[in-house]
Amino acid sequence: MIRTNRYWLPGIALFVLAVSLTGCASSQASRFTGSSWPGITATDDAIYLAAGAQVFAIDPEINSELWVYPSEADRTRTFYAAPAVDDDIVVVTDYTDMLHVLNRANGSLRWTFETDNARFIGSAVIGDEMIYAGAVNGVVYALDREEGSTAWTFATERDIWSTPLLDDGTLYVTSLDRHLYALDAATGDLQWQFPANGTELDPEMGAIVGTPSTNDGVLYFGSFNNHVYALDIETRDILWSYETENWVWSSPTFDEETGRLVGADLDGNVFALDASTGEEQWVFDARGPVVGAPILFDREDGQRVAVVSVGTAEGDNVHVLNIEDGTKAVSSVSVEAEFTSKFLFFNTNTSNRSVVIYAPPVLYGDLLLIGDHQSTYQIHALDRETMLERWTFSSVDS
Amino acid sequence: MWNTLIIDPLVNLLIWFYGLFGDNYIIALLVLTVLIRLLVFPLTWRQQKSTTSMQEIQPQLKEIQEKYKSDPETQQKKTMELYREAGVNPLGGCLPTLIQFPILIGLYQTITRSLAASPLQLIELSQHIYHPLPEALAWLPNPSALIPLNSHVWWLNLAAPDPIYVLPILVVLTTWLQQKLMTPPSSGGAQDQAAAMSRSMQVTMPLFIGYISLTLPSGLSIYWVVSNIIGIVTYTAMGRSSLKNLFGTEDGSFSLTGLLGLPQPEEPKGKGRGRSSAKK
Repeated sequence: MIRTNRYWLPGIALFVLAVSLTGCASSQASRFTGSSWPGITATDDAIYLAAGAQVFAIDPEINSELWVYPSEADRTRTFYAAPAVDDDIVVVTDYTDMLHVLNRANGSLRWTFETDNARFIGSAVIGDEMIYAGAVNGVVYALDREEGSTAWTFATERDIWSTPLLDDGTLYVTSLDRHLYALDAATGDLQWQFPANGTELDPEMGAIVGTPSTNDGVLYFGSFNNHVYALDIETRDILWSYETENWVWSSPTFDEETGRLVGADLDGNVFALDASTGEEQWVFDARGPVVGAPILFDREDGQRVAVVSVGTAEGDNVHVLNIEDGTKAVSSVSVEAEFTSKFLFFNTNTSNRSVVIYAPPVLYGDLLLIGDHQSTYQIHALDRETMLERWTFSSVDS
Repeated sequence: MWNTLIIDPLVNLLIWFYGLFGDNYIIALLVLTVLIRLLVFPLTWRQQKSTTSMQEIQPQLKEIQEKYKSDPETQQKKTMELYREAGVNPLGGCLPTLIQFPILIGLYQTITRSLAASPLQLIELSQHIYHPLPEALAWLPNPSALIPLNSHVWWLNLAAPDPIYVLPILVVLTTWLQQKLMTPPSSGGAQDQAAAMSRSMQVTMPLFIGYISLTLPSGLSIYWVVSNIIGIVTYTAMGRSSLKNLFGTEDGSFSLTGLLGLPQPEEPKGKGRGRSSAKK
């Protein structure tokens, strides 16, 4: 009956709208869900993982937990930023509003620092006397390393998502307010900012979310205005700039051996530049956003390579590129996991596919650690020579 | 296809408006909402016209239903004849609404994506921005240089739900008011199923959208409120909304039961508007 249809149609439409708006339909079933990706740090004897509600210290030899913090997951807190580690402490920032300082030996809590409801996205940096971190309220905090008291703060105009760079007494901080700040690490006094207010570049600069890298008096960093810059620290002159096809999120990596700067943009263009002139040496199309900084090492066959992880669910998501010419040093690999498609509460299909990787690859001995924010596993450990998966680590099963 | 045709243009348009209007997200959203309402105006016009026509032939429809209630086949035939004679498409009121749904869903996705507040959302946004801009559009603000958009306005973080529930309440009120002003009072009495359904929808629909707005970014609630206000103004200018509809009375005089959408008392035979009381 037509009369009946008149009432069914809006009902069906309402249902479709509700499903569409509330995201009941899902193409993946991740047990590690959230707003960012796991943070991994490797030292000589352990791997530290910030993933979900807990932070893990892992013994890589036997792939088992050394300690977990907090021992009972606190669902109000989420950890994404890579832990900062030095001789005796591990510093983790959480996605709620707190910085936690732990004993490296056993993961016990030393002290915490709480912001005014501002979450941390970048990691902390550990100095000799202070710990530094920037939060989304735009404030850089310098905290006494032993007691956690605030030594100084510095406010930028927008969120800080990056990890500060501490170099030779200066703290370099990038901000979504489209500036790079150089602060006196001891006092927090502003030494200079780039671009300077009122300069020609000021309105053209984009947000900066990556940590700058530095070499021999030059800072290298990328911006959302589709450029990579080389900045003379002494004169604050732009030595060169390189135009990309999309935003630059990752920190460019300087290679001392070849004098090249390897970076990438969110269109998946991996590039090597002459660090002194900015001249393009090669470009490799990774076919997906590259968010994490490339890592460099020498393979056993003598090739010096750059490894990049790619945010693509289709095809290869880890590439090992010869730094000389950008060709593949070994076949690219696809790090995969099992995914279950869902509609409402029903599982509809289960299959293996590539995981989207935004976390930067991390080197530990002869292992490449790949962070995964989509599947059950937060770390895929690959043999750096053969690229075969040796083991995986899941924080969920702990 | 969905991204190329709907999401990408809307995202870039919203960001351009944001840049053109002094980095003000609310104004950008207002301008985009007006633009979308203008684009779908032919559809909403047709929907309103169809609703009014349906309302006008309700008495004849009821007559047919009563007369042929034991003969569904003839009833359907006569109903179709009536539709044909009156030039009414029985689905004319629903189809324009259904066609607007992709736009509403697209706009929802546009707002949530443009207000990217987490690393994963910002990376997602990077895949929807036009870059580089074609030469012909070089005069427009560069969307990449405007990111991230400032989502903090008044007490609101537009990327998060309203913490003090002002917007969800406004969403419920304006949705209800728009429906009430546009929908002529049902001719059916308390026993009429269609009238009861209509009254029920007038309450459940605003509450449903209000419930959704409790959990979604407040930027979307602002769209809903603005869109409803534009709808009320438009339909009033078209002469399609009236106090009669609001109070459910013949002369537009105040009636609390009519305002609340409660069933009107049955009127004496032959005097009232409704024919459902005229049992044959």
